[in-house]
Amino acid sequence: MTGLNLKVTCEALRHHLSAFVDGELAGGDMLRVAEHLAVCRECAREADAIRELGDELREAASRLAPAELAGLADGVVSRARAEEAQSLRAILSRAIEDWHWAVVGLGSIAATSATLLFVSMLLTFGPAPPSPESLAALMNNLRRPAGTVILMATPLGHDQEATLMLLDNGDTDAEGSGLGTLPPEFTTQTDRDLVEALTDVVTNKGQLVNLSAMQPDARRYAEWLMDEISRIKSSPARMPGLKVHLVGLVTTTGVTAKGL
Amino acid sequence: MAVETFVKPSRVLTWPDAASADWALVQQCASGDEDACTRLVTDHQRMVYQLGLHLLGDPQEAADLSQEVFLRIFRTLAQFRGQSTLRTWIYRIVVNQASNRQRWWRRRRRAQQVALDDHTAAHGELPESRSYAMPDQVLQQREIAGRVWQALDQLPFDQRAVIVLREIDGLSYEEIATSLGVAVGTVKSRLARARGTLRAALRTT
Repeated sequence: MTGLNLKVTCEALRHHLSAFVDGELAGGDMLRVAEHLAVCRECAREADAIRELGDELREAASRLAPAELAGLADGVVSRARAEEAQSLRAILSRAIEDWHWAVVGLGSIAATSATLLFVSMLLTFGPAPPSPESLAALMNNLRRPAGTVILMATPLGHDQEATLMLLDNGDTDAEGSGLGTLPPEFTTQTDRDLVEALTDVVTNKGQLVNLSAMQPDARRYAEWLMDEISRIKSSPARMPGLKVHLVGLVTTTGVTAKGL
Repeated sequence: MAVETFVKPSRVLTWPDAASADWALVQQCASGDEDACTRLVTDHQRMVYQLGLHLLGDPQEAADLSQEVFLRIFRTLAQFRGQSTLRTWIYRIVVNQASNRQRWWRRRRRAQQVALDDHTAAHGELPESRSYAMPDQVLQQREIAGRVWQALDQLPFDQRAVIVLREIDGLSYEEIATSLGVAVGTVKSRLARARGTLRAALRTT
């Protein structure tokens, strides 16, 4: 409270009487109000009335605590403990509930990761089937025909009979087929050698080189190799020491034969 | 013969002492020390009950309120930062809880209110009316107390809380302001209004 004017009216001063009775005015203001009350009987009566009201209230106030308060501490403490336990149980229960979904989520993530890893490894390290139009597929086809080549031939000599023979192309399981195998001395590797030579010429670090971009000598050599391969593939089967009657290609779906 | 007397100065409990004692007690309670919790209740239960009784005017309500207040204290112990004294903090909780309960109680009482004649017809005379056997002085004191309680009950809750905290519990304006969460100026004006209303009510009864 700011300083009270000594000349204030009783009515203005009475707004501060309540705080004066409570001793809540600043020191200087307390003195000024006290001086006023010493000379103003009406304001002094008002201050006394405020004090009496306080006395009546204190007189009427209960100073006794009921018997129920005797067990209050134990009751409250045990109830607080129960609430805390309940709260802990609820927290635990919620946590377990959350963990359940967390485990499901983690399981799903693990399964997805394992699947992705497996597919990635399969794509990275697994066999990659070449495209039918790729150079590798072309070379592979030239090296290994898509089937089993069989021959009906008669070895040259006296009293030899025509026999169905199996041309070994590297993939055939001749033992399981029940057919005879072409003797090694009659096997020619000429076409394979040519194909491999052509592969070396037309590829550079795994990339197919355009014939028009080759050096003239290399180009001529590649063209000669291709001509030779075509000639061998299209020429009738001629094998030294054998009189070939029939050459056939057995595929998984059927048999094609060519009569000689 | 000169007699030398040695006077051992008594230790005065200062504000920091009280604050640190409160803080230590609260910390012990927060750490789950049941003895400390029991001590907190027994140290303050009388204060809490009486304030509840003076604010609500009903012993049973005050007893229930006391239990609620201490449970509330234990639930919110972590919020006590020692910025006020433990006593003031508890006063604040009591006033808030009493205010909530009083609103509910008033609504309920209005809904269940019956005329005095109807009540007397149904249940007989009120117990107070048989107090003729008491000595005159006791009877007069009870009469005055009854009038004071009635007048107090008619006050708005804000004014009743201020005058009870000041006159009965003896709190300073600053402590009342902290307990009610209002400014000191508001306490001063509410208290002046409450005194005026109460005096007028007591003059008419």
